[in-house]
This record gives sequence, structure tokens and C-alpha cells, in this order.
Amino acid sequence: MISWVFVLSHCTLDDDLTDYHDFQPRLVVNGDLSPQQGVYLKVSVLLDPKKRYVIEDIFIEDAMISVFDAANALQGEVPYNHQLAAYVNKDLSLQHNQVYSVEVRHQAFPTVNTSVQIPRQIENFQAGFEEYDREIEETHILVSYDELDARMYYRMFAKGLSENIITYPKDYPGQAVPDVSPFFCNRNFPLFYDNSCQDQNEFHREVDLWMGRVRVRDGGRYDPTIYIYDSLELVVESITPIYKEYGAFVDEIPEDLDLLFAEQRRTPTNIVGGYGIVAGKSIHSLKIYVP
Amino acid sequence: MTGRIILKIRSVFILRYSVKGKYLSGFLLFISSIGSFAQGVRIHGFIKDYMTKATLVQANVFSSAMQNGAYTNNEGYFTMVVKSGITDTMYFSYVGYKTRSIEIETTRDTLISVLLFQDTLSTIEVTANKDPISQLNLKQIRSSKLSEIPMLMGERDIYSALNMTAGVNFGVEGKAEINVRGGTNDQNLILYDDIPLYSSGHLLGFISIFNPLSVKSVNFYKGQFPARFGSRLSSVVEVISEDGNPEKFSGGYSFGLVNSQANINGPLGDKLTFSLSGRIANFGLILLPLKVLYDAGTGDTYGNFIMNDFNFKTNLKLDEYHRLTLSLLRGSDNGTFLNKDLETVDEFKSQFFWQNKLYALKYMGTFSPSWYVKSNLFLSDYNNSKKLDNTKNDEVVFRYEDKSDLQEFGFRLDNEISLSNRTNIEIGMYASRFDNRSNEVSVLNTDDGNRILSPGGRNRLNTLAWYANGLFNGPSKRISVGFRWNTYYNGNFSESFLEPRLSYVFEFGQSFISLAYAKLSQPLHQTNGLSNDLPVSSWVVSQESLPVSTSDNFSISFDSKVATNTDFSCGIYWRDFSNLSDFPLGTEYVLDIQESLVDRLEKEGKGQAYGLEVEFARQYRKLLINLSGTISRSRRRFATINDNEWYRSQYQRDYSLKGFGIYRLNSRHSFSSNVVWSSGVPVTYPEGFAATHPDFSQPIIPIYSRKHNANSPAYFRIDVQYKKEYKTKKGRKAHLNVGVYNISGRYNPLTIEVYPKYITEANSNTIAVEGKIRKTTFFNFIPYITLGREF
Repeated sequence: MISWVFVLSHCTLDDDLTDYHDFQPRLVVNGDLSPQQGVYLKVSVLLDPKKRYVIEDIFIEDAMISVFDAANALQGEVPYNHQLAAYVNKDLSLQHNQVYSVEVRHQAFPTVNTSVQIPRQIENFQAGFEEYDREIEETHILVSYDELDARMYYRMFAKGLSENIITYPKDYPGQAVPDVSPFFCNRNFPLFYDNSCQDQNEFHREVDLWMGRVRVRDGGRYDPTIYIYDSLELVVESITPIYKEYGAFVDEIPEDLDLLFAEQRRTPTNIVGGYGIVAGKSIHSLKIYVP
Repeated sequence: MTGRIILKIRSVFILRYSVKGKYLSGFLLFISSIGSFAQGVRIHGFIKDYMTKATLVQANVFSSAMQNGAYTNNEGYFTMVVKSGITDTMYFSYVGYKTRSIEIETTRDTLISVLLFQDTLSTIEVTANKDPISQLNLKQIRSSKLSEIPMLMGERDIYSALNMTAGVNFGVEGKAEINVRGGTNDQNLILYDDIPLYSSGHLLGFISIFNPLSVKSVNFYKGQFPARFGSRLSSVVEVISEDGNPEKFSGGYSFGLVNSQANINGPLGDKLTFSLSGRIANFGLILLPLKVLYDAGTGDTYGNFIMNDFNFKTNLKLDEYHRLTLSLLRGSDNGTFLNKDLETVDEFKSQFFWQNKLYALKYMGTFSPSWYVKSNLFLSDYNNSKKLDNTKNDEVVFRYEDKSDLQEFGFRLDNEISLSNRTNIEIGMYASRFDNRSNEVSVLNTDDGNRILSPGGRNRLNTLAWYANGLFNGPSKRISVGFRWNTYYNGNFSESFLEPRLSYVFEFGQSFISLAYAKLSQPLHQTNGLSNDLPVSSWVVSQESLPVSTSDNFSISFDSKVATNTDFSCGIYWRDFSNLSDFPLGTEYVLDIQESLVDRLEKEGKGQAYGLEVEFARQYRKLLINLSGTISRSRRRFATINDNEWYRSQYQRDYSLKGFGIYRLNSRHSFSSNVVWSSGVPVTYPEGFAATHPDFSQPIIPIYSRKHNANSPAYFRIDVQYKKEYKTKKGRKAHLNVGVYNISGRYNPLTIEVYPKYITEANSNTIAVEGKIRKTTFFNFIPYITLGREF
């Protein structure tokens, strides 16, 4: 067993990065364009792994950002909003199913640009509880909508709303009510859940939502008497596929011994001359009340 | 004259039993009388070990009257023409054995069986066979000598020895795989008693499937190989198993840190011998009791890895000239991990499994002293699966399953014809059918009865090959001219390749200069998208959308016996690959039911490899030193990878130096050491990091853009070993090996990762980030001990 002891006790070694290829400075642009919320972008620098950075060194506030339509006509500039720490313009009139290009200029970096298509609007968005039972840990909600643009992906989430809050548990004193599920149409492991929202060949979708109860610390049990929502806001975002690829990439970056079983994957980007993701998005929400 | 009479008698025998009419009979008659063209008589037969009666592969025969000789084939058979009517002194030699001379009266064709005695003072022989009349680029390793040099955890493994040769890059440290002259592991034809094997790894590939107690010897051809081999691009590893002692029961067993193994062999009557070997991983046995506790509900997790294999071979001697063998090999690995919630009775069971099964019925015999025939009917079956079950009250409520398999059912016929001592011909055919399933994913959810199946994945391919090879041995030059005609087809796909195999050897003094060219094709692709190819990776046969890979191979080499007991060789090679496959960076190759594996492959890739190899071996009185060095380049190009630019191929090490030394103090004690240095392998580093949220609340993302854009650190290790051979009180041979793998303690990473590290500044609450490198390894100082006995 001596060998096994040596094998199992000598695993990882963290070291300084000394041998690294030439670093090329680039801009990183992340954000989205949607008819409902306009333009929302964050601009940062690509970090050189050999250097140490603090927050102030990373995000750029003096970039020039312009949005053009498909005919290359300027739609407007996007100024930096210090309060939101992002470049925001909610006043641009962005249309569904139209292509826009975004150009980001900065004196210290090569100019970058990207082209984004806003998804079509989804139709017949409906939702309702199915077999609601307070005593059961999970509750199913049926969501359906028609979608005509098979190229897009969909992200859904639900927010629990409590207009008439009864009691918060002692261990859960928050003003904000927690989300029921940040993503109930799981984008990374579609096999483990209903994956119909990932199916690009079907245009009518029905998705189940598992609405878990709040756990209290005492043994991790569910207590239906402590807390309940009185309504839910269901949000469906129709979104360009690269955003889904990006989400999957982030969740599946192999680390450490994972690398024995997986190779690093190309980081998704749609930024020409730089890195990052700018997605086209169409946001739709619906409020339903708990029976 | 007498010899001719005997040949005619044999021809009549063939005619009587021919079943295909006059054409086949005529062919057989022609073949069987070929030897009569040569002047003199033939001495033919077998060379065997005195103790075990095992036939010796590539043993040498030399006629003092003829001043030339011959080599034994894989069954220990040789044939050569000698002058008739004289008393010829013939010498029989084999590395590690005492040379024996026998005076033979050459009055007629004579079948002989020569027994050689082991020379206990000799050491391991892993240098190339220096006589090119045998085979170019051939290297032979005998299993019995593997324990002479240090190996990981003391596990004697043929791959560890192969990895010490020039032109061979090891992949992941310790794994049973080789990457030959810029090729990949799937481009090696692994043959077990002439039958192809499709996975040679055990225990996640860290030991090979070949039980050293059942293996007699290994022939290794790199780069170019004879026309009788085909369907691979880079090398042939030909494993020859033990036949079994025909006179008494014998065997052996050994206990190591990784596994325990045993062999028993012996006679079953006058004409039948057998050899049975088995092996099991100690690790799995130790953990088995935990399963009892798990089943009893005292634990909520259980994990184990069961590895075992067994080999069985029986050999029926029909008469002096004809034999039948039946070979069976079965090796399996089963990893199981269980987790259950004791309250909800939910249980999650993940399992991965792979298995090799091999069945072969082989005939070998001589219809005349100049004609040796082998025919083989075989089935090679490899399958693997990955399964995830969620059960409730022992009923499956959810199942994910990923299955792959490859079966090859085939027949091969090989004829070795000796026209004279200077001219030999090999003619044969190979026909087989592949049935293939690659990563067929199914998902079953019993809640809604929904079953999803991934598309495609099942394919069939037929292969038919004919080959002929002539070996002409002149006074100062040797020429080998051959071809292999390969046809691969199924219902809607067909490709044929005429593959020339040419070599020319010029001899001066004790030196040779060799030039060689070979075209090779491969109708199989191992879909390995991993940085580390697990034995569970899948094979895919060629089809309409996945063409057959080919390679053109050129080499020039110089071999010389520069001084007594000193060999030197160097050579250069150039290889061009076409129609390779690879995964682009970023391909999802697991958990994908939308697309078949073939569709996710990047196809029609090109490859290039070239290099310089140098080897030096010197035997002093008690010391053997063997050094090898390689300078090489290997690269790939695919349309959608790295913007169609060349990138370095997986596991490519541009520079490597390897050496081992064995000092045999006396017949009982020996010391040995390995030293290995090589430059790093290609790795994919991020171009940089990207922060997506201004308070680091979201992870910093590595930006990967180009495959294999960096090099891992250089590799270095020194191993040492002491070996004691002794006899037990009952007079049985035994050995004890004690050693340390990587005694230098160097941290050679199995995996390497560049990651962003968050740092809180000392004098403020400011958080900073910088890149760090994380290396992971298991093998930076591994002591071991192994014990073995023979009976």
C-alpha cells in the first residue's frame, strides 16, 4: 500500500506562470440588445495571466460605442452609466427580427465589432399551475408558447412574489423573496430535465417547472407553513444561440483532474477583434397567482 | 534428389485432399514444389527453450557450409537450404541463450527440433534486430526480460519497454499507449496471436491487457511494416502468447502493488498442451467488503474498480508438421460508484465498463519444407458503456446509457515460402467484417416513459486485402518488394488502396544503410476528443462521410556494429497523413443526443511528421547501456481548427532522450536504472482571462481560442531498481524486485491548468486577480516491491 499512499498524497501543485506565450491586448465586450431593455454592455480588458489586476484596472469607462442597423445607419451612441457600471441606452428603438451591429472603440486597443440579431417575439405565452399541493415539495407549472424562430434558444426563470407576505422564517430574513428557480429549463444538462425548450425543431413548447419550497436550517426539512409565495412572475427570454453556448461553456470548464477526461473548449465569442458575447434578446413575462 | 521425391509425395497428399478442383490443386502443387528449385536439401524445424519447450521467435540459424542463415518465425519455425551430401555444422543462437552447434548430415530434407539453454548472465535485449533479412524496423522484446528494468509500481508491461525506444512518444505518463513517429495511439495495430485487439488498456489504461505471464514475446514494427500487416498507419505491436509446456506442468505467480497474476501450463495427453493465465486488480478485492456494508445500509456511498483478465490457449499437435491452436482472451474493467439517500431510498449508480473478448482458431503447418502456412478464423469483440441509473426502491426511474462497441469477425491466410536462402516470399489474404456502434446514447425516464435515442452510430464495414512480399538477399544488398491491395466497402461506400511496401538495404562491413517507403491505410478512427484517451473512447469505421485515413512513409536509416558489443543506429523519417479526424476545440462529445459522434468529428484533416532517431547500445561485461534520442515534429491541419493553420499533434514531444542501464552483479543480483527526459507536450492555454462582472461576483472566464497553443513543462525522471533472483527451499525459481519510480521526485504533470487566482491585498480589502498554473500528477516518487515465483 506504500505506493498507493504516495500516489494519493501527491496530487496538485500550484505554481507561478512563468512559461507563457505572447499576450495580445484585446477588449472584452459582454451584454445584450433587446427591444424591451435596449442596449446593455460591459467593456473590459483581456487580462494578461502573468499580471496582477484589481477591479479598477479591468473595466473600461471611456470607450466609444455605436449601434448601427443593417443598412449601416447609425442608430445611436451608448454612454457609460456609472450607477449601473455599464454602457446603457434604453432609448434606442430596437426591433424584433432585425440585425444590428455594435462597434466599440478605444484608443489603447484595436476596435472591435459584432453583429447581433434580435429574436422574434414569442406568441401565445401562457402559464398555469398543475396539481398544486402545499404538502408536496415540488410543484409543477405548465408553460407554453408558440415560437416561430427555430434558430433561437430560450432561457426561462421564475421569480417568487409575495405581495401579502405572511412570515419570513427566522433563518431567512430577507426583504427580497428568493427566486423559485433561476433556470428551470436547464441549459447545460438537458438530458436530466425536460429539454423541449432546447429543441429547435418544435415550435410549440411545454415546460415543467419544479418549484421547491424554502429549506430551513433545522435538518434541511421543508416547512409549508413557514413561507409561501402568493404569485410568480415567469420570464421567458428568447435569445441568440451563442449565449447558450457561453453559459454551457462557463459551467463546463474542466479543472484539475477533469482535464484527464476532457480537453479545454473554445470560449464562445461573437466579437470580431476581441472577445466576449453580445446577445440579441427578446424578453417576455407573465404573472400567475398561486391557487 | 531425395528431397525432390519427398516433395512429390507431399504434393500427392495435397491433391487427394483438395476440394476446389484442379485449379486449387495445381496451385498447391506449384507452391509445394517451389522448394525443389533450390539446390541442396532443406533443414527445417523448430528452435525451443530447453526448460519450457517454448518455441523461440526470431532465433538465428547459421550454416557454416553455406555461410548464410535464416530466422525463426513467430511459431519458432525456420527453413533453409544446405548443401547435400555433406556434414554441415549449423549454429543455433538466440539472445539470452547459449549458442549451440550441431553437425547434421545433409542427405535429405530433415525436420529437426533444437533446444537452447538459457544463459543466466545475459541481460535484456531491446535493441533493434540488426540483420535486415529478418525484418526492417523490427524490435523484439521478450516478456521474461521485462522485469529487468524499473517500471511504474513494478508492473512489468510491454508498453513501458516500448516507450524507451527512439521514435516513440509516451502519451499520458504511465499509460499503456504509444505514439509512434508522429502518429496517435489508435494508429497502432495491436495483434494478439495475429488477432487485432481494439483496446489494450486496463485500469483506466495504466496497465496493458497483456498478462506478462502469458506473453512469450513482442515484435514491434514502427513506421514501415511488412505487407502482411495492414489497416493501421503507424506501427504494429505483435504479441505472441505462450503455448504451454508439452512435458510437465509448470507456471508462476506474482504479487504486485496493482494486481496479482498467475499462470499454469502443461500437457494434456501426448498431443495437447494448454496455458491458462489470470490476473485481478488488488485494489478491487480490497474494497469489496465495503459493498457488504453498503448493502446492509451502514454506509451511503460505495465505489470500486474491478479489473480482471484471463487467457487460455490450447495447442493440438496433429503430427510433426501440422498444429491447431485455440486462443481465448477476455479482459474487463468495471468501475461502479453508488450513492443512496437512506431516507428517500433514492439510489444513484454510475458505472463505466469496458471489455475485450477474443476468440481465435488457428492452423499452422508445413506442406513442404519450403512452405509454411498459417490460417486464422477469429472474432475480436470490444465494447464499452457508461451508465447512470437513478433507482427508487430498486426500480429504475431514470437511466442514461452510452454504448459503443466494435466486433471484427474475420479470416486470414498467410503463406511463407522459401525459394532459397536468399529469396523468401510471403503471400496471403485477409477478409473481415466490422460491426460498429459508436456512442449510442439512450435516455429513459420512466415517469413519462420517454425514451430518447441519439441518431446514427451503427455501421458495418467489410475489408478484403491481398498481399505479396518478396525478400531478396544478395551479397551486399537486400531488397524487399511488396504490396497490399486493400478494399473497404459496405452498401454505399467503397474505397480501394494499392499499398506498395518497398525497402532497399545496402550492406558494407558490419553496417547497413536502409531506404524504405510504405503507403498505409486505416479504415477506423478512434473518436478521442479527450486530452487523455480513456479506454472507453469509441471506434468509428469509415463510411461515406468519414473517409479512410492514409499515410505515406519514407525513412532512411544507418545501422552499424561500431565495435565489439556496441551497436549504433540513426535514421530520419518523413510521413504525410491524409483524411485524419479530430474534434475541434469546443466540441461537446458527451451527453449529446442531438448529433451522432461522426457528425461532430472534424474530418479530412492533414498531417505531417518528420524526425531524426538515434540509438546506441553497448554491452560491457556486466553492464548494458542503452540510449536513444529523438528530434521530431508532428502537426495537423483541419479546416475548422485554428483557422485552418497547422497545430502540433497530441502528445508530440519535439525532443527526447531516454536511457537505461542494467548492471548484473552476478546470477542473483542486478541493479538497473532508467533516465528519461523530453520536451513538453502541446497543451491549450487561455489567451487571457475575462471578467464579466465588476465585483468579481461572477467567475473570471478563461478565453480559449487556439488548440495546442502552448507547451507543458519538460518531462524528466530517474527510476532505480534492485532485483534478486533466487531459489526457494523447494527449488523453485523466484524473484524479488524493489525499486522507486521517479526517484528524482520531479513533478511531471498529468494535467496542467492555467487558472485565475483571487488575492486579497494585504493592506486593503481590494481583491486582485492573477494567473497561476496548477499541475496535477500522481507519480512523483513511487516506491514499489513485487514478488514472483515459478513452479
